Amino acid sequence: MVKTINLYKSFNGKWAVQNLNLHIKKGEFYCLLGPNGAGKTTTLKLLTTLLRPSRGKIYIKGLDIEKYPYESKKIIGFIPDTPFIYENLTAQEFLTFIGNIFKIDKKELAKKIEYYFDIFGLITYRDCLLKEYSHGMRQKIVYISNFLHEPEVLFIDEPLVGLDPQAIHLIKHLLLEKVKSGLTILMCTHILSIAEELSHRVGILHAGELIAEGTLEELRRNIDKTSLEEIFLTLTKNLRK
Amino acid sequence: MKTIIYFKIRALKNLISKYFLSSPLRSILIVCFYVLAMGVIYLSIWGGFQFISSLGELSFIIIKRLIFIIFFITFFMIALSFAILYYTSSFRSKETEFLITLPYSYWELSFYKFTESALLASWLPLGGLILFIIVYTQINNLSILIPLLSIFYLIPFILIASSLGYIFCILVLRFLDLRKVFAIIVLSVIVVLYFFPPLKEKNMNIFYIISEEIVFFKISQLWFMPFSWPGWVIVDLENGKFINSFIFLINLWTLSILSLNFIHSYGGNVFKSLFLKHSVPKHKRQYRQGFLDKLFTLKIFPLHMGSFFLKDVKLFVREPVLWLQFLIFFGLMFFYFINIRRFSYNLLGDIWKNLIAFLNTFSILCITSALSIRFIFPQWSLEGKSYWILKLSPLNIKNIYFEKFIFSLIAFLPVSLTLIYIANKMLKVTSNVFFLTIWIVFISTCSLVSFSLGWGAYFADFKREYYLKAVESLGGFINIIINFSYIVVTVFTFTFLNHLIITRNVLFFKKYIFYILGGWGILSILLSTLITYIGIRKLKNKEY
Repeated sequence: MVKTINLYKSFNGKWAVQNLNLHIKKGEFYCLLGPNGAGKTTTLKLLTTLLRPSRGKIYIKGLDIEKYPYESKKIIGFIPDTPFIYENLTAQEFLTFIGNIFKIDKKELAKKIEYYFDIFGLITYRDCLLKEYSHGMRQKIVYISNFLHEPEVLFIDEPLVGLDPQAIHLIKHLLLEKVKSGLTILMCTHILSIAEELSHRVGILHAGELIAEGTLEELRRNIDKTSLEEIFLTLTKNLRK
Repeated sequence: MKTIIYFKIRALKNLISKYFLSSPLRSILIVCFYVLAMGVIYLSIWGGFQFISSLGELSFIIIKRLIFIIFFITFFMIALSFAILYYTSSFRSKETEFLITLPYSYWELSFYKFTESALLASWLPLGGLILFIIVYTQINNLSILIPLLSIFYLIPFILIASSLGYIFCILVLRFLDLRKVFAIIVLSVIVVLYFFPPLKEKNMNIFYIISEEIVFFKISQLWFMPFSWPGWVIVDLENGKFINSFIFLINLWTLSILSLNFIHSYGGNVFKSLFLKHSVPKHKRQYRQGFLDKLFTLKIFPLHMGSFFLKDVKLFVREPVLWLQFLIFFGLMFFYFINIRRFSYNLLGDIWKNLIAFLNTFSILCITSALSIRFIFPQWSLEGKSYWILKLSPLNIKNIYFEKFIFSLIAFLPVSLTLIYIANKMLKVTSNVFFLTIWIVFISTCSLVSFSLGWGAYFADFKREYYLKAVESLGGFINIIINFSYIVVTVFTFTFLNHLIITRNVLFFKKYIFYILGGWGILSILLSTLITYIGIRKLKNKEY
């Protein structure tokens, strides 16, 4: 579903991502881990066309995103770590705007918005400007905006920043449910317990390079450590030395 | 406070060196462009003065008045720019939230924000003023000391204008509702314009017309108003009235020091109360679906385009910083129509009629250009950090560009065409000139909108916290130069052609005027398409 071939990205001559080869299957929950500055966000931005690769190819559902950007954008969703959205629109207006861009049927859109407002507990704030929302509430709106057009691949950067425990529980539940029904997720996070709990496979990125990849079991076997935290620390520590 | 300023300068230095290192050739080209642009502005002012000089004895009076008008316009431009910049950088800023947590007093922060806003609001007008004074000195064979010492009368002038902007900003934020202020000002302008009496006695003497009928000239010279003081410093110096000149200079410095002292003494408390007032979350206002939603969901446009229109309209209406800038427009309109109402155009000779009709077109295009730079140029930067939403949408960037273009055109064409229509009606121009100027304004408005949108796309900065600073950036400067050059070339060409038709009855031009107009239209479209292409290409390649 998501495939990168020898992907490189440099900023002012410095490599942020180097020789990245990812292969994520349909319905897979893939988690990308790495210390600060490892290139996780850059990778997500490359996969979502927000950045252009310096070298290499990216395929989403077999489509080369350089050649078919609009077709591939129809099937992807992106949840950034900081929810920058139009602050002077109300939540209802913003979601209607997104729905119209993705050409969702009017009635269906209204139903979906109503449903997600309800489950995220935002009904009473639907007609308030987004600038009056807290960080967590905005993050919820970004989640809803991505669920509206039912993407086939979802890219998430730090999924739970600023969310309350109830929302965290709800989102985890929703994501797992959607993965079961065929959604592919590539998520970047620092919270190792989340990765441990949700992901099918884990990739560890360091200085732009993928230094380890596999299921938790495979990683445990190869590194000879029991928890993901220990695996992560061992791998990144060795490289730092 | 020195530390903040030092590190701000460091940050700017880092930015420039990073920019230079990333592409030295581009940086050199930009510097060359700056130099070239200065040359173009200098030559334009020079050309304008030369033309006025060719009008004979009248030129002396017009040139003298022009210097006062330039200071008058600049004064209010700086004041309004300052008010907007001070408001955004002080009370809508993440930087202020950070600085408040540092061990700085409120008066230090207030003073720092004052300095920053004054610098940002005045650097561009300051450059223009200096060039203007240099040309003025050369044309009048004055001492080189006048431009060399200009900084002594320009600095207090800028400080006074900024202080006026500061007081306006503080009063509005402290006591008034922005929407009400806007509505009151607009209504007052309309009422005054409507009831302003036209002159009963008409006079054919051009000297009389210039001194009595053009209100702009009269007001800009009022000796007790600070905006006229730098003009008086220069004119009195020129006339050998050194004591008078010195008194005006003293006035400038006294008032500016007094203003600074006032801001220094009371600014801290005001800053604190306003910051606390604006940082506390307000009662959450509910916005239900209204007329606009219904209008844009009608099937006039494709659904996604209607949604973009709706989004842009709502973002504009709900951002006071944006629509408050319309005050510039209403201010200009006020003086513009008052002058036209009192102007005895029909009593003038053919040559003067031609000149005034095209000067009028020039003014309207300048207003359109000023508005396009203020409102259209920052449209892409206005998307700001939310640009990722557009970038990820399954729409071609061309469609989004096209939507913004149509949106801007729908907003601008009625304004410019109404202005030229009303002005032409008031001046009672001949039907030939009437249609000619309407056509020129129509094509020029389309071109100016394209230029601003194209350059806005090329120089869009999505990481900038305050999109309005985009206008004061390099891109904004380039946009000003291109728009101004286009207007000067266009208006000069047609004024000259019409002048030839009137004075020498050159049949060649009379016969081919439609072809010339068509050719100019095609050239304008080509230029607009080129800039649009450059803008779209840059947007496509722009990374988030």
